[in-house]
Amino acid sequence: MSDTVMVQFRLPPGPETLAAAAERLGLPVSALDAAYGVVPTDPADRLFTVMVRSEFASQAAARLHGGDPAEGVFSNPRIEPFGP
Amino acid sequence: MARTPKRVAADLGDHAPRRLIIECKPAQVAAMAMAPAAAVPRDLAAIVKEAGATLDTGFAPVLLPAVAGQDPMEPGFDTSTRFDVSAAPGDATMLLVADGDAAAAEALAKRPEVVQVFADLPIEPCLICPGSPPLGNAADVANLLCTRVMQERGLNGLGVLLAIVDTGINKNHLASLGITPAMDVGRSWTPAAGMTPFDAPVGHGTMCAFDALIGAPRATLLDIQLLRSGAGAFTAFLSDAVRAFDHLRRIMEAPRRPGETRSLVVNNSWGMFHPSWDFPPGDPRNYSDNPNHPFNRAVAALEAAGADILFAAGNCGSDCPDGRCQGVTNRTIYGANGHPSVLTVAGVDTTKKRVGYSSKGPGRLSVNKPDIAGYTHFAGSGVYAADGGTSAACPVVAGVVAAARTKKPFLPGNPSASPHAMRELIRSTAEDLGAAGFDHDTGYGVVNGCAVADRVVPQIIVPPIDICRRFPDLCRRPVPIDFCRRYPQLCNPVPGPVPGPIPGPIPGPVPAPIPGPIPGPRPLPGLGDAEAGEASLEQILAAMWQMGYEDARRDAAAAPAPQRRAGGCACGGGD
Repeated sequence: MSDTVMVQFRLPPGPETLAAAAERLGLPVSALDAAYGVVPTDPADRLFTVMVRSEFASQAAARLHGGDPAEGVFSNPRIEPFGP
Repeated sequence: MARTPKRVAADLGDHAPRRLIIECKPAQVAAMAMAPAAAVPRDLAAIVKEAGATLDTGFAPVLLPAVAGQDPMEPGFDTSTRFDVSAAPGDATMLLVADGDAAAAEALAKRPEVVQVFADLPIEPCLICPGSPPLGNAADVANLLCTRVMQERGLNGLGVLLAIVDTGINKNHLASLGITPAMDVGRSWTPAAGMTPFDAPVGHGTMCAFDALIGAPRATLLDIQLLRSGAGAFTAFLSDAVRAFDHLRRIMEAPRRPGETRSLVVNNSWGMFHPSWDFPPGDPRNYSDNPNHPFNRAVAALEAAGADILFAAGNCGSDCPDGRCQGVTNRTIYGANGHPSVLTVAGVDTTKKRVGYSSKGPGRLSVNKPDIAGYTHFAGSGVYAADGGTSAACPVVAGVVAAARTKKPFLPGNPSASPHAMRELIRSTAEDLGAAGFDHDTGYGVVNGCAVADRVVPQIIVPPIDICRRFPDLCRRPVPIDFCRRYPQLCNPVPGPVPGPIPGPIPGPVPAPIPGPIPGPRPLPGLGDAEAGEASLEQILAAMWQMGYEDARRDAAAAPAPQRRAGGCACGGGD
């Protein structure tokens, strides 16, 4: 997980596959974490999330830059329980 | 006994008045010993006033025995009694309390009647901090939540899905405590193959499940093992949380199953501890302050689908933060933990005092955070010495939400049953703590199960109506049958033998609650429209009784007279 970054983007109506995601981001399918897949974050707004290999992060960011603030590369911080 | 040199035993420093303890000499104490409950002797009161201090007349003087340590070198030294104590009038002193500044304290200390002047220091209960022993137990929490009243009214979580998004639940540990909740394995979620719902190692998630079940013992648990996503210790990344919330949203969007209320309550007792784990605010990749971050969008989407989402506020409270906060205690309710579409839960102990580590608001995504406080740091699940952190407070509140959903289920398209309405219900029924109204320590206050029950399943209390005592004439004549037909809700619904003439009160209260306003098709005799609103219920009932009597008399003139029984009430279906 530490060598991938979280990328959120919009897909037009249609298939919600790794191939569609890769095409949207201008990346080869191999750049995406297949085990993670394409996860809807807000499907009503056609927003999806994939994990992209770090070396492709800037390429994906450049593809999404300047448009919707919901699209882009995002932080993926560690989370832990708040217990005792 | 020898006395220590006289001085002002506290460097008061400034000129601000403060409370002083004044120790006075034995001569006055002798008088006090004769009447220990007496007020401060006048001469001493005058001395205090002359020094410029103000005596606290509400503080009854206290006799203080003299104490002197024994010299271990003296013959006859007794190791079992290291101090000589004497309450003899010549030895004991008297304590008074007054308000005065440093100058007044100095003046008092110079008086021959005064032995010593001390600062009267404020004391407070100890703050609960990480590592503090538990305060109270799960039974105390149940009492505080008013679970008895909730469950009497059917608020127990039946038919409600309660998702514990955490390290996983261990059902065997719960069973060892005599708890066997309903569990939905099929709709639970594990991050990787080889993991089994409800069979996780005993830990944080099991604690959260236990604490949620206090308020909602009949809820159906979903085990969402998010925090097993990371290798080794219980940890994960937000990308894993995006997957988990996608799973939960699909549950909400799936068709409702028989027996379920379509309500889903989601407990999240986790988060980010330090801003260094994130990009800084303002960076488009930031999470803590960015509503467009994928996980913050996922939270909004799940809430829009109808789920009630709760997040713990965090353990970076300024008084005694968790070590992982690394000393950062300002604005530590990060990202989804302070999302406007969730209930953010702070922690109070079972004395309703905020625990020292509970993160204070404002939130990063929403200013008015936390929303509510839940009980924490009590002896509960047995997973830890204390079910603590805002981790325990959150599921305690989640249980109450699930209980409320039993009778107030989520209904798509119904604003009064939306997650927003539920948040308003929880906030508006809270018991306010601290400063009046909302505050950044405990939000709107601590969760109040009794008030929630009263709001969701209001009880109509009907006082006993002593009609026959107030209007004995009415009970001496036959009661018209038509009265009971016209206003059946006022009559005893249980048919039984007709009693004889009742000169006294009707025994017992009215058993059935009046379901709503009594319809009044015409003005009540003796009560004009303007008077009806001011008449007592007994007067209104008596007037309606009279109406019914007149109706029956009119009907009797037009039809064969019905069977009449001697006196009493012939109400009910037995006729």
